[in-house]
Amino acid sequence: MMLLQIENLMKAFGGFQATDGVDLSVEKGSLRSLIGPNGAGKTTLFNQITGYLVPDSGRVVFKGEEITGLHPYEISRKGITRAFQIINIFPRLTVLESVQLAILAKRGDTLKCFAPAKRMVWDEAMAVLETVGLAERATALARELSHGDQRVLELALALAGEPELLLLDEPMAGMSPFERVKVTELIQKIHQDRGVTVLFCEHDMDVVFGISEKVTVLHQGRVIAEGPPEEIKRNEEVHMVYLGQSEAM
Amino acid sequence: MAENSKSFWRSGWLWAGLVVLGLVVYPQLVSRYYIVLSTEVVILALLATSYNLIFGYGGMVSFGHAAFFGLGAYAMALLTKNYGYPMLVGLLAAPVVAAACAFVIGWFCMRTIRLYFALLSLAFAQLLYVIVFQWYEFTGGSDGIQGVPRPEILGSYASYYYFGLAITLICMVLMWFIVNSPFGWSLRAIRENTQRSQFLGINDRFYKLIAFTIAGAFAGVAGGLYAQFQKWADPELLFWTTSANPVLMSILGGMFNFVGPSVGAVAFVALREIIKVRTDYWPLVLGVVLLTLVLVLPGGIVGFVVEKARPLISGEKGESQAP
Repeated sequence: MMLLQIENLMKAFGGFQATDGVDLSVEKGSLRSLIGPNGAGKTTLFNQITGYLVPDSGRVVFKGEEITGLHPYEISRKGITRAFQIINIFPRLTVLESVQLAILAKRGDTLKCFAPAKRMVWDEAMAVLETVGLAERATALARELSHGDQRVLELALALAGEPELLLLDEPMAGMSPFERVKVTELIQKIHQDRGVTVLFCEHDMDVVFGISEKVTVLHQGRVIAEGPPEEIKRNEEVHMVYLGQSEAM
Repeated sequence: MAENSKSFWRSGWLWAGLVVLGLVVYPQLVSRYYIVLSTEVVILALLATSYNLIFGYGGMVSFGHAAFFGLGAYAMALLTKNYGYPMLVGLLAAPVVAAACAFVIGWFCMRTIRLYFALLSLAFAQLLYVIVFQWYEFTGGSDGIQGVPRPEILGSYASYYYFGLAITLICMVLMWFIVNSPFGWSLRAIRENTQRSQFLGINDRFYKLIAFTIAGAFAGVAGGLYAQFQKWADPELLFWTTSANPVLMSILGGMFNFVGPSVGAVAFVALREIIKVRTDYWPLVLGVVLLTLVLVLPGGIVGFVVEKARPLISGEKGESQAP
């Protein structure tokens, strides 16, 4: 069964065609990655899936229901959450509060005006923090965390939304090699233990080819190749695109 | 961890209890002048705290909060003086009228953010001011409505102080629950990072509109009390200079703390009384004090105290007063 289906998605900024007819189908329960040189349209694609940008044309279908053009808060409640490429957290909320709030928001409990939030979904929030390894920093303000921990909190926020589809936009950006290993294991754990479907984009090719079941290559707003890692590694067009691109292949 | 937060909970109530006890006993020890002044402080504290729901917690800078204060005052004055309803009707009508108006104004203002939001809220408030000022037959125009009655039992200065204190405390408790609820946390999250809160599933505009309406309702209560307190509702209560007061009090006391605006109200009135005796230019002196405070104590009086006191109370960080 297809969890997410994207059909002929188009988005232009002025004269620049950022997404140029993307088709993408994500099977339920899969662990997928999206690669492509800078400016290939990866983040733009994520922005359209999550409702931050409205596509010029084309459709986004989630669980058989069209979600094109819905607001981010509506899409998030339907089960697609997202971790951002740049750190995007709540600086003056504590780590625990942020995660509690993400759970409460997903459950539609955030309009409750007289319940004590501090004592709500405490166990669930701590469980998420245990999973990502931030339990010890639960009472710290988000802005007091190290860069690496803030990235992990970013992931925890996406995870706390109890997603069926988790979109990760360069989860390893700016991380040390040690932190990369930790986050790689974390993504696999989330995928296996929680049965979450994961679609991530990443520049670290060791990670991409190491854990993805299927890789999709985006170039100038188009899908130029899709298949298992071994196949993508041998693909000539992909080599052409990445030629001269740092340590890529 | 859970135990920890519980004990903080208890000690928080303990402190609140001590303060309330002090507020109850204190009028027995001072002259009438101070009782009247304290009544004003209590009502202004309610106004400032209601404002801080949207300012400190919601991150919305509104320059039109006086509109709801003034509407509450006129609701009370019109109903009790001109139409002869009992005080309780006025006191219930004040927040209802103010909230209804806040909802409509908020609905328009939520389309804008930051400076545009501030200016639009100011424009709406000034519009209401002009209506109240001009509509002589209904509002009494520039004369306002004089002789707002009080029930006999609230005739004395001390009894009205206690009445105002009781209503204010009830409102404060309600607001305290609101800011510590999932809704209150959502407001903080929207203030901290609107985009991210949307991606968590929070409809930010709707939440801000609700907060704006709630803040308007409590400002309406404060206005109703104020009209009774000074036995007079006048257009000045809706004027933009009145809107500035809760902004100044919140900044003075600390906008990132629940009691900050109340402390700010005390400091504001105290400063005014001290300086007024010595010079006619008290707003000038207040301006200098504010400027200094913003530069030296960006967290306001309470923010400063909490920051200094935190290491003394415990080594724990962030738990207690993350706004």
